[in-house]
Amino acid sequence: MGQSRKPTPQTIAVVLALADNSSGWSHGYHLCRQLGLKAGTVYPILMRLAERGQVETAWETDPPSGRPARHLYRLSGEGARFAEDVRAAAADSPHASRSGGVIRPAPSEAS
Amino acid sequence: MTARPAAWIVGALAVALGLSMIAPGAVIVLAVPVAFVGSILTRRRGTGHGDGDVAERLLAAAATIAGERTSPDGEQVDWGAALRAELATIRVPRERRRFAVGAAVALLGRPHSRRSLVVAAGVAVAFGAGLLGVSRAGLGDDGLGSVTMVLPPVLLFAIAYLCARSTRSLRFGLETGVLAALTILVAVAVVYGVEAAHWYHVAPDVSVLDGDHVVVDSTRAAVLAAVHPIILLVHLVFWSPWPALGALAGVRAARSATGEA
Repeated sequence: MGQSRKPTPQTIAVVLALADNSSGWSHGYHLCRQLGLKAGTVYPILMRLAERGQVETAWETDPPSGRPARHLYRLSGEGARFAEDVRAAAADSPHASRSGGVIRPAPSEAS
Repeated sequence: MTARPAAWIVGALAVALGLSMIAPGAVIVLAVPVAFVGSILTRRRGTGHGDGDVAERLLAAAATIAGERTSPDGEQVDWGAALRAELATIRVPRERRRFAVGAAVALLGRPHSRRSLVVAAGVAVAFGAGLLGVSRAGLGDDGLGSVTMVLPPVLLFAIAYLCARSTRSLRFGLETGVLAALTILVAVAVVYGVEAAHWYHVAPDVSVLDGDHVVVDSTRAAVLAAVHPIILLVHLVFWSPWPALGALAGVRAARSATGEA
């Protein structure tokens, strides 16, 4: 289940954001805001990475009352190796930034 | 909510009235399923997420159509529920709408696997082979038309129902049902063409479509008469409600089995 094509800058950004999350699990909407990407971009990437086994998913076990449990995402072992490869490739490229030169953090919080 | 069922009923009656002038059976084959599908949709809306805002309703509709997806380890992943849970954490209306639009694109923009095409192709091959067997056994009084008009709706309903029920995905049921309709139509066209040529040499004045008397002066004319685009289009129109009806019934059955609203 490896990466068959060169990953897009958006995919690289999502993978590296997941890799950099020291607390482990991430929320999809948080990733959208962190990377300044729309849900229509981030979620297909998460779905694809999950289908490839590079991202693990789980549901919140103890959500606050009044709202449903959120879906959580983190890199699997294979995903972590993919992130290392991506980071190494980015470091080797003189023009590449951390996020592939395309993705910028969102300027403001929305909610 | 009362305007929606009325619109469906009026629309279905109009379709029935128009088509009944061409083919009386259309009232049953086309209009009744259309009205039934409409009533199912209306009931779902009335008891589902009608209390939510536009964003919630948009995402709920997209999630219903998309259904669940199967991960490589066989686990069913309900991305619709995941996105709706995420939407529940967003408070700003404009941001909710933006997120819902993007999430709906994410849910609906990804096609299911090739399973739909495999199922549809398999059914079409089996149907085509069966139709060929029926033709070679004898056209009878009604020709092949009675088979190709009546049997595919049953098949399409069953395929869409089973696919939607097994995956809890309206979209998968619809995709497979619609693809099956198209592939069966191709099979029908091929068999009609082959059998029109065959029967022209055996009984040149008998129509392969309805067993009636027909006047054609060559094999080519017999084939062209049998696979006329209008004939194929009428088939498609008659079949078209059944994938939707089967997929809707399948999703509802799957949700009823798990006690979901």
